Amino acid sequence: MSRPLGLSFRARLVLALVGSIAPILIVALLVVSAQTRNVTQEFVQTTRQNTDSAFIQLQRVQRQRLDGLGTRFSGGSRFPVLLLEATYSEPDIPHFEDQVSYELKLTSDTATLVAFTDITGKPIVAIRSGRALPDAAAAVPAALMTAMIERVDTSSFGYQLVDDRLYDLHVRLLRVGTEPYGFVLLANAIDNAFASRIRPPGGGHVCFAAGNRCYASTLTGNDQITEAQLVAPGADRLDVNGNPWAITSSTLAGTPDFRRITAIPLDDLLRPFSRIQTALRLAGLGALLIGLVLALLIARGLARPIRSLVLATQSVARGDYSVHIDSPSTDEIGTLADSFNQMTEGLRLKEQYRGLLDKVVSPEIAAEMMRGEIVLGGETREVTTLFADLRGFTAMTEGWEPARVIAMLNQVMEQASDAVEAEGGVVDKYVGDEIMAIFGAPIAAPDDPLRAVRAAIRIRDAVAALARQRSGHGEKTLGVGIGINTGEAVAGNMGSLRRLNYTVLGESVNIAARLCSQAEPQEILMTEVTCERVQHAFEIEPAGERHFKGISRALRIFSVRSHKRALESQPTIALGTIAIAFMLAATPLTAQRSIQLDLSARIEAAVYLPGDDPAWLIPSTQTFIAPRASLFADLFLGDRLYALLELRADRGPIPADTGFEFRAEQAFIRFTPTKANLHLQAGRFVSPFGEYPQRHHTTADPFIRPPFPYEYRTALMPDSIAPSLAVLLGWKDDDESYRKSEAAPIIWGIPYQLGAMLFGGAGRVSFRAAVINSSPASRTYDWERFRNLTERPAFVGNLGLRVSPEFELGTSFSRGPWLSTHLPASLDTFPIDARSSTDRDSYLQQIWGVNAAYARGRLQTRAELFLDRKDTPNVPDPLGSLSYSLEATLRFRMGADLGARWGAIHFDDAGAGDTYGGDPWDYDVQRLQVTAGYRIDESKDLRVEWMLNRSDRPAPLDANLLSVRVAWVLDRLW
Amino acid sequence: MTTLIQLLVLSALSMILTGQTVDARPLPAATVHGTITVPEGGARRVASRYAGSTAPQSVQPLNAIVFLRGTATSAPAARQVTMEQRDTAFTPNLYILPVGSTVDFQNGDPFFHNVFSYSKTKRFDLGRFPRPEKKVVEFDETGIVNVFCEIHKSMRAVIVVVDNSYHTEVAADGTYRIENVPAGNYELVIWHADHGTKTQKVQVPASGSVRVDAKL
Repeated sequence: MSRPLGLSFRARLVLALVGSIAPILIVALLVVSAQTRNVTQEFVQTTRQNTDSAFIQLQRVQRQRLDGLGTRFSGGSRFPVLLLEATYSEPDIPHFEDQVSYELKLTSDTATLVAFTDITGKPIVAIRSGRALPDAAAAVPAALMTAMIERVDTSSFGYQLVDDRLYDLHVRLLRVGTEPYGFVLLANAIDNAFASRIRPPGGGHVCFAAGNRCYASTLTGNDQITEAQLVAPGADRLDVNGNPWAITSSTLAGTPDFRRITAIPLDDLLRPFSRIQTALRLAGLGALLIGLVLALLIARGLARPIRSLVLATQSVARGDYSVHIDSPSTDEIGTLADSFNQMTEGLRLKEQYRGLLDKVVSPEIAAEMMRGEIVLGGETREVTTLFADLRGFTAMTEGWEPARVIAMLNQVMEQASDAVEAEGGVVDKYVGDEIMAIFGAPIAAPDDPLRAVRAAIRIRDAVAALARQRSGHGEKTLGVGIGINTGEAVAGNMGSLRRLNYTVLGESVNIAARLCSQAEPQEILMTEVTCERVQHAFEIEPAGERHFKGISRALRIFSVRSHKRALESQPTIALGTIAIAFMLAATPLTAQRSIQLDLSARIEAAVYLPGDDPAWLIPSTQTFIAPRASLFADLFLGDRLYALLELRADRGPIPADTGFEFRAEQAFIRFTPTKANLHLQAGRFVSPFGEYPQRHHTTADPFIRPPFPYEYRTALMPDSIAPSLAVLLGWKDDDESYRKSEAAPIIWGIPYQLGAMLFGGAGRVSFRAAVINSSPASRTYDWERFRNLTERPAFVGNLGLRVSPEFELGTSFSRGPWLSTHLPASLDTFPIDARSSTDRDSYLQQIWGVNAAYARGRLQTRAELFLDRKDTPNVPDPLGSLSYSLEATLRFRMGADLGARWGAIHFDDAGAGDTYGGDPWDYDVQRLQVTAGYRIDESKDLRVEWMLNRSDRPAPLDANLLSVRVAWVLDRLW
Repeated sequence: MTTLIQLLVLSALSMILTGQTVDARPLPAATVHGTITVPEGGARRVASRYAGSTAPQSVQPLNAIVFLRGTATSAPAARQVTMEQRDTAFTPNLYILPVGSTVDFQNGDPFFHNVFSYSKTKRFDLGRFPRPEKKVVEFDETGIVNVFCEIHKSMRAVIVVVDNSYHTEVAADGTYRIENVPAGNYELVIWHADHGTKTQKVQVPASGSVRVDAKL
């Protein structure tokens, strides 16, 4: 026995748990911290750009006003003349000031400072904020004038400090005729009010500074941040009392001395990220702790019973058969303990009865009985009895040769007893075309009733398969009625000493026999006692109350429909729960620009009016409504992470389903590591195989029902095994009793499977590569099984090429097991011939798909073609088919469209050799769909579709279906 | 001396001229201005739910716009403008146009776009067309037309069709200013692609300004 690493089971368990949690946690933390950095950078960048553009806009408006004023003062000759007069005569200055003030009042253009100077730059008049200054020369320093006058021809705008205030200045030359006589200087103050107009939202600050001094700012003195911190050179990040700030600085155009500094608070932006990080760390720590405790508990729980088993085995080895292990648990260890107890009990009884038997019967019979592990002697015990009676057998075999009748009966009985034995029961006797089986004697198991019902379903299915096979030969239907009851019975060997027969006797056995005789063909009846024990595992419906001879009160009877669809959607439910929790946690954070949660819904109601029976997958001609509502939650975390949860409520995947289902249809997370078109997606999502699934539920699918290869159910059954090719070839002739909706399609429309996918593209090429848990033809419940993904996944690939803007080509491939996981992993209890494997998952579906699309103007055409091959038990070669669909749609200017789609499936010969040569495994079928639609507005559309399904064999079939659908998209519910 | 005479003549002339401009009074008109508060939130993102498509993409941003409704003045002259589809974006993606204007939708990308609108004001679907084809749409009714591309979810544009010239885009700081609005009763419409519409009655006086602040 090898001991890897020499570690104890406990240590390995702990290591595995820690090893699986820690990397996830570390990756999550890394992603969050990288995301934080990106978002901060982007936020600072955007805020800075916003402030910049606000500043430029404001500056432009103010300069336009200065320019307007400048034109007013320099445009005519009035002000140049007034200036001339004021220059030459001192007493005209007040008059000049009045004229300027009046002019300023007339216009809506404003300036904080207006000054007129003579041609040397000596100020004559200065008006600040509408008031004339007594000493113009002092108000406008001569040096400033000189500086400005030098620039009058090049750039007449500029920033200047005047009197310790920062101004945006504009200077114009005043001329009388062509002669220059002076200048007008116009200026707007860059003051606190100016700064507050370009203040960034969310508590940021702006400051205009020269050197280390701030001349205008939005600071009020009570702010977190101080002027000194703002003007300090160099820093682009600040920490003010523990709150992070970003500082950006830009120089004012043309004047390197003046800077505009923007301070942006990052506190609100970073808070949710630090909350996520804390939550992640806590959750990770919690998960690690829980994992550790669980690992220790599991290891402890395993070690103790194993020790007691070891001790008990040692006792048995010494010859002590009286040991008994108490095992309260019901897990594998518990089963092992139970089996051990049964084993020792068996050994003990064997020892005890060997001597007795030797006396009662001949040694030969005794040996035979010992091999059968039969308890001799009468005892009262609880048993579950099953009676199965063939119906229509006599009618079917009427006129047959006796040898053929017997051969037929033996074939049925053999399959029935195989079914009983596969479930651990004992076939008690055959009486004509009736079989009696016992579960619970001689060996009792807690799940006897359960196994009896499972065996009953197997018998029913086997007879149905046989019936399918026979019905193709134009013979009458075969069925089986089954009765099951659980109760006390006397078990023991009955008969004479010469001929002993182990059997059970009692009222409960009689009731089972009566139930069997009352059961309709293909009906499984049982009493309340059995029902209570098995109702968790099967779909059961009440079948009324009945009286039985010798029992005073009426008994409630129940009928078994099928295996309960086990809660196999656990992975989706778990994914959904995680996704919902994640989204709830993100909700309060959505005020942040980096996180966005959108809730939207698609509600549709389709009215189906089948014109013939059977229209596709609809078993009657009755009109019915199939409503469907999908709720989508789209979560965006930064630009890298995207998660989707789709909850769906409808009648079931097939429109004719009568139930009500509420399920998480999709739940996945998509990670885009770089700016390149490359994405990693994991969870449950729409199948990457084929072209149609990528556009269903969108306006790109202008039809109600999917293309034919996505909907047609072939004759192949993924959860029954045809005992031979002959039987399988009979399946295609099945009539209504054959549940077409249970059969395997070419591709399920639309499959949503669990898995992981890498996809992306560059230029004209795109690709998808995925590992998913089931093949395109797998049953819906297999889409949600996590186990398939870890054991035998399906590999799917797709490659797309845009040849030209009009023309696109694509190809898909998928390879994976397709048989239903409701079958046991090992098929050895089924009749499997020597050339076929008994490994369920070795039967693969391989499917190649090619798709092409041409679109130009109002016309859109698409085509898809599939080559499907399915390995099938008891069939020498894979069963193949070729299927395709072609569609064309024409859109009109006003939102209406017309479309037509043609689909057909051709089935290969099954390769059965001479006997069945030239016999395809299913009949060729075709479908035509014609549709007209109208988009009422952005959210609502109305569609009518007429469909015709045809086939020539077994009988000419033209089944049509008219459907009308209203779809309503409710965008941004939240 | 000649210069002095010249000066005197010129100044007299200028006085007459300015006097005339003072006499020619403008129509009674005022300014409508104010601040619009738009809820915070970054660029909205969209992603395709089905495989084979791309990462989350930001939809094209749009500023809020403000326009006045209910004036009797005649509509300004119709314009002809171009809205290009370039780098998977409508450029520009906002036009405020007088009734009767036409827009050339021109594809500037090496792949197809399909420009359509299901807005009540103007329904159209231009089909798929490649570079450098263009399709012309006339806007003959007032209202707001949301324009999308059927192939690229993140593309969006808005064409506002108006029958006067009293409209503006709201500035980054939330302020707006509509000048020279003739006196009268109006409806001030504030519209943002992501935050809906708000309508407010406003009485514009003969002169001065009216301040209308609003929150979307």
